[in-house]
Amino acid sequence: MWSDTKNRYTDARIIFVDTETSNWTWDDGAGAYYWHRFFSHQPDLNYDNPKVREEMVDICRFWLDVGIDGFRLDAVPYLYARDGTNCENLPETHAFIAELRATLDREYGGGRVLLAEANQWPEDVVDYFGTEESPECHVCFHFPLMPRIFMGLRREQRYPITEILERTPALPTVSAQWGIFLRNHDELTLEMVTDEERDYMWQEYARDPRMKLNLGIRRRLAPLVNNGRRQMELFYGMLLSLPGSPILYYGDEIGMGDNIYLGDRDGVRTPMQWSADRNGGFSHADFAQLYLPPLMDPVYGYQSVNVEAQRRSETSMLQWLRRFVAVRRRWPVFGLGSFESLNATNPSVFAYLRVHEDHAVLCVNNLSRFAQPVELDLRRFAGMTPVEMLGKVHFPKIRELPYLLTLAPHGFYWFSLESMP
Amino acid sequence: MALNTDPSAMRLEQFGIAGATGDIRSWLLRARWFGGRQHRVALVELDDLAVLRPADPTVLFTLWRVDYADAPTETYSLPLGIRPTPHPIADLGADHLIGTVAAAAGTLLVYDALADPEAAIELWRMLAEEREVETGSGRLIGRHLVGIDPGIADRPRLLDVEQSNSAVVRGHVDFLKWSRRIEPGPSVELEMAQTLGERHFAHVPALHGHLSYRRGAGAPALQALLHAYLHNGTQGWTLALTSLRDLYASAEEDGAGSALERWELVDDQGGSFQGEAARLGTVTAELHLALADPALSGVLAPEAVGPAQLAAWADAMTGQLDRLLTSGDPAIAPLRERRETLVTKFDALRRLGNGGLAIRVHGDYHLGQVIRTDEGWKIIDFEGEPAGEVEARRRRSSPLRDVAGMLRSFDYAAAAALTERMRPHDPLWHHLSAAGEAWALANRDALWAAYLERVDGTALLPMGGDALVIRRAFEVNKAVYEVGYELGHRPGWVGIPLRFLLAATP
Repeated sequence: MWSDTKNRYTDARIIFVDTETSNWTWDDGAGAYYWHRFFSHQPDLNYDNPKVREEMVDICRFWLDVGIDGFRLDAVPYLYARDGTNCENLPETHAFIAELRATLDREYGGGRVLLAEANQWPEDVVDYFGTEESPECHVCFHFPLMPRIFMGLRREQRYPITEILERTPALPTVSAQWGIFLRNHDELTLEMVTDEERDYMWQEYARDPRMKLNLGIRRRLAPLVNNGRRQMELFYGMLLSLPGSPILYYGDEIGMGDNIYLGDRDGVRTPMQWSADRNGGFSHADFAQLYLPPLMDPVYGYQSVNVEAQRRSETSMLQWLRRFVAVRRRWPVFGLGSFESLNATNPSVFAYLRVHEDHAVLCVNNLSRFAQPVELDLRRFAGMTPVEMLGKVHFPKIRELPYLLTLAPHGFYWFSLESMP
Repeated sequence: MALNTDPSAMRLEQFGIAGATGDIRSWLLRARWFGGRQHRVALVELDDLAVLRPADPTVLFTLWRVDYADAPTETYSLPLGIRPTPHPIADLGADHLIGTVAAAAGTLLVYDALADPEAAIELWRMLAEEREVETGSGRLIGRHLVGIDPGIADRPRLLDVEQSNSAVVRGHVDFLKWSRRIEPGPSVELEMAQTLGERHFAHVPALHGHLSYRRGAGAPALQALLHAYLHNGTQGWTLALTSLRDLYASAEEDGAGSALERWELVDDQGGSFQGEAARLGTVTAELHLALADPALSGVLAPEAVGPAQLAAWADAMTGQLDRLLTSGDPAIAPLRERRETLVTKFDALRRLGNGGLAIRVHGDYHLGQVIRTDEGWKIIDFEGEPAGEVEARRRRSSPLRDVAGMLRSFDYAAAAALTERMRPHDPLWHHLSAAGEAWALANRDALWAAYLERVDGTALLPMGGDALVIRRAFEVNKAVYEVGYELGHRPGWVGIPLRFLLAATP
């Protein structure tokens, strides 16, 4: 996208505020400015040109023919630019995605997925699902949920989380689902929070200025919670039971750390730690040849945190998470069920119901670092028995009275509500 | 008891429960919401009666007159349920089961109808169908503002939070507040709910309907209000205590610290309440701006506060202080020494030319009256000061009277969270107490700053430092009231307002 002037699309914000001062950069060779929503070394393509659109679809075909399962549509809100708009979420962008989805469905049938990366409020992101008549993406990342899970834990109360879930619109198509995550390969973005909340998050989770990046925090899950195993388990307990398809970031399943001394986002992109061998088993190359060095510190380094060692230990993070993923996969309610937050008397307790057909699951999470009691009004399930889903332990039958549960610090439960003969 | 000489029993005989009359009387006198404990009861008599449902279960609306030897008469409302035994309702327990009576057809259970979902739903029907039911000497009138469906699956459940009212809730739908004491005359709470509803003020639970009782041609008295249920709500008090537990746990780990370290502790607190306090300040300001609407008239009309009103406030506040100082309690001694300094806080009002507006206020505003929900803070219980008479509760006042009440509440929260944690002789008590004071101060400041920002540019408050002068006067006045209240009810808590008053008069 070329221009003789920088005075076009002036309402478009600059996203990488730490490095860029304009969305236009001068090119001596062309004698013109080119448009880029991100780094100046990442020029945008001109989707107004039909040849560009055809070529992009062709590139998708190439990879689909190779056999990939789908695409993550990176920075999808920014395909087109129009004067007089903020150049985000334009109708032309939606039309192109609908066209891509139609090609995918027509030429490859089901089983291939489009995942939208649109860091926007859920009421705007929901448009990327399209409609039943003109579907767009199968999955959209739910960005604002992630920082609020961290905020809820640190504040020891559920409101940051329940507020954003309350604000999340219903899914517009039957094939649609939110993609939820705790961390990913980018910074923990704080674009979709208020200024007050951003200051709070920086203060609590990015004490060292090096931990900040743009409007976010460039850290992995384990260091964010000070390597607290209980907190990580609680986070995964919520990630795997909240409505949405859970997406795990590589390395977080073993509790890998980060390296805040590496530039930009590389701090959370260090080599996967497979074993205690050279370079964490990631590569046989000489250490000096690696693009990014593996972590070697005594707490998070590959010699202490690696897949091989965790496979051998029944109590490791990895084995624990595998068991929970297995439980989740066994029950369709987690993928398909409705969601309803429950009125817990205790603000530190986040309790909700997932219901699919005649199966109800009750999830109860303690966001506090102290043990907590909670009373839940479960009368509509009176006579049923909560069965803890991992151990199949039968809890006392639900009656008309409020149901009393006690939770360990950062503890959580998943109960299947079942009728016992 | 001889039935033929007991008029109450004679009227209950037609339902076969004359034999329970004594049980009803004693149950009423020991109910938690009975407010006449400190008086000598002379007579408890059935005052009025209506049949709300003839059978299965029978539901009676009954009013009971309580005459005292040493106080004005009161009227209590008691909806009764009647069922033949055996029935599972017999397991309700003594809090709700009033008595059993042998009748011709077998034994009858007499109980609090609010505790029986099938009896209580009759009250919803009264509103849903806008029923008007003749009682012996008056009528009950049901009204709704939105459609009410009595047939939903969520059945009414009596909450265990009774004070002067009982609360019955239906799942996630609505919330019935049943007045146990019937007071003739306009209901402050209904008046406020209607006023705020008309102004689309979003930070109160929406009013769904109400039930009034009208004796003869008299003014209707409020019997019950039906509100929207506040989903996923938590009382501000509970939320503040959650924040304080986090603070105290961190303070314990850090050991004794300097004032600066305490500030850092509060400022860096993960479980910080300051964001909530600021949002509460904004919502409080919006409440007051709605009540300052110049279109309001009559008993709701905002009034400009001039020197005469300011002087009257100062006089009243000084009078309350002097009444407290006549108490012989040794705890008062330090206040007596500081009387002059305390009075200067009130006299400062006299130097102001403009006191902003006097408006209808909440009147009993504290952290227990605000509920955090997913849509932000909601304000409940617009009944005014519980002990005050109706006319006093309708008196217009400075909005800063509410603000002062809420600010004082932060002190109480800090003290309550500390008291649940340790005894005063604990070696860490002083360190934690200082941390709690820093917490209260930081949250007071956050609320106050947000409040001022929201009302800026309106006529609600006088300009600049004058608003602070009024706030301080109402805070000191509130603390004086608290000292008197605590001496009478909870002497162990008197230190909380005393500490504030001593700090205010160095």
